[in-house]
Amino acid sequence: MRMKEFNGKVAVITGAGSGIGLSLANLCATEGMKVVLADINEENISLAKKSLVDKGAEAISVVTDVTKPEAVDNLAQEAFKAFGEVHLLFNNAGIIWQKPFWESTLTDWALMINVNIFGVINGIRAFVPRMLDQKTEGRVINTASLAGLTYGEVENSAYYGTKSAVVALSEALDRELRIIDANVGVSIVIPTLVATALVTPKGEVELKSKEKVNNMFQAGAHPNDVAKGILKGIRDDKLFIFPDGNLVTSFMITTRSRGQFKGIRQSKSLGK
Amino acid sequence: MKEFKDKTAVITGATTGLGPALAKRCLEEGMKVVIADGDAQALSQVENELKKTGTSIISVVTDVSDPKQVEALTKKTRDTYGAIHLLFNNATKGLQKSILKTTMTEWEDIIGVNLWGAVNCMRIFIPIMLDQREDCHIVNVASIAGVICGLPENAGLSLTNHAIVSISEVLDGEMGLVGSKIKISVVCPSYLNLGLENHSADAGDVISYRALMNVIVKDPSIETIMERIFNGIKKGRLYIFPDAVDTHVYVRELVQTRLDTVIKSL
Repeated sequence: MRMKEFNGKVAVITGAGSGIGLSLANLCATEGMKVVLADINEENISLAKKSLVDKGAEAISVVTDVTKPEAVDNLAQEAFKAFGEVHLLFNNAGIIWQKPFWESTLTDWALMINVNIFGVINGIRAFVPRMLDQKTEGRVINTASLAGLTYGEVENSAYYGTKSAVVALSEALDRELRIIDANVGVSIVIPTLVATALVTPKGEVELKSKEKVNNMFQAGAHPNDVAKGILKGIRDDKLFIFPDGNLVTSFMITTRSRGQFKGIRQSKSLGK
Repeated sequence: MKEFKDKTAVITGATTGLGPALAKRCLEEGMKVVIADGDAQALSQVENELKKTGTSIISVVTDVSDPKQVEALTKKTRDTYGAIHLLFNNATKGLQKSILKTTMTEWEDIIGVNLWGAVNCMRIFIPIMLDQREDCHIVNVASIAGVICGLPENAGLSLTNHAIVSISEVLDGEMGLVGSKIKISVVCPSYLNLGLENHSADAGDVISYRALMNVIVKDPSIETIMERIFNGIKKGRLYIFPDAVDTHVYVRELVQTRLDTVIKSL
C-alpha cells in the first residue's frame, strides 16, 4: 500500500521537539502536510510550531508524556479535533542511557521501558483504531534503532532490549494489519547513527554516550537527511526503513544473525 | 557452571512451562532448590509433587514483577541455603490477542512478568552473585519468538522475548568484560502455544511457523529438553535452542527469512 501523496495530509510526530522528530516535522510541513507536534518539552515544540506556522504551514503542538496513556489519548483527541484525520503517525519519542547493568536502577529501567516500549504501544492504541475507521491510506512509523537488530552492546542492556522489543512489536502489527487487509501500513525506522542528543525528560544530554559514539565514527548523519530517508521509505512502502544505512549496517545485522545461527547449530550437539 | 551438587538453584514461574521440569532436574542433580511463583496454590501443589524427587526444596510465593517480592525471595533463599548459584528466569506469560484488542492491563501484565520479572531478578541476584565470586549461572527462558519476526496475535510474547534475548547478549558481554564468574544463557524452545493453527491468512513466514508446529508434534520428551538445557549450562552456551536437533532447519529458516526481509530493505 503505497502512500505517495503527502500534500494536505496530517502527520502526528512524538518527540517532535528535537532531533529526528523535529526534522520530520519540518519536512512534513514542507511537503504540504498539516503537522501535530508532540513532545514532553513544551518550549521546544512551541518554538517549532511557531516556526512552521510562520512559514505558512498548519501546525499545532501538544505537550505529551508518551508514557501516560491518558496523555497520548489526549494528543489523539487534539489531533483529530484540529485536523479531522491522521495519516502518518510517527511514534518517534525515544530515550537512551548507557551504563553497566548492575549500576542501573529501577527508575532507569522504568524510563526506558515506559518511553521506548509503552510510548509506542500508547500511540498505536490511541490512533490506529481511528486511522482504520477513516478508510484512507495511513501509516504507523515507529522509530526503533540499529540496536533493535544487532548484537547487544555492553552498557546498553535496556536500549538494545527495548529497541528489539519495538522492532518485534512493529513486525507483529504489520502482519496483523496485512491479515485484515488494512488501509494502514507499518514502517520501522532503523537509524544507524544520528547526530542528535537523545535527551532525558529533564533536558539533560547524555554527553557520555554522545562523545563515546562520536569517537567511534566520524559524525552521525544529519537528522534532516534521516527525515528525508524516512519519507522516501514511506513512499516506497518499506517495512524496514534504513535512513542512514550502509555496508557497516548490513554487516552488523548479518553478524548478529550469524551468531544466532551458530547458536542453533551448536545446540544440536547438546545431547540425545 | 559444571558442578551442580549441593549448589542452590532458584526457579521463577516454577508452576508453568519448563518450571516443574527444571526444578525436578535440579533436585536430581543434588541441588538445593527454591521454587517461586505468583500462584500460591499451584506452587504448593508443585512443591508437594517435587518432594517425591528430593527434600532440599522450599517454595516462596513471588510476583516477580514486584522488586520487593524478589528481594524477599533472595533473602529467604540465602537465609535457608546460603549462596545462590543458579537462577532460572522462567516466569513467562503468553497472550494470544491482536494488538488492537489488548487492554492496557494485559500489556502491563505480560511486560510486567516477562520483561520486568527477569530484569528485577537479574538486578537483584547479580550483585549477590558477583560478591560470592563463585561460578554462577543465570538462565533466561525465552523462546524462538525472541529470534524470529514479531508474531501476529502474540505481540506481547514476541516483544518481551526479543527484549530478553538482547539483554542476555549484553549481559553475557558485560559479565565477560569484568571477568565475573557469572555465565548467562537464554533458552529458546520452539514449541509454543500461539493459537496460530486457525489462521487462514497468508502472512508469509507465519505459514512457515505453522509448518514448524507440525514438525513439533513429535515433541522431544521433557527429560530430553532438560538434558540439553543442562548440557548447555555446563558448556557455558549463550544461546540454548533445546529442540534444535528436531527443528534446526525450520528455526534457521525462520531466522533467515527475517534477516532477508531486513537486508532487502537496506
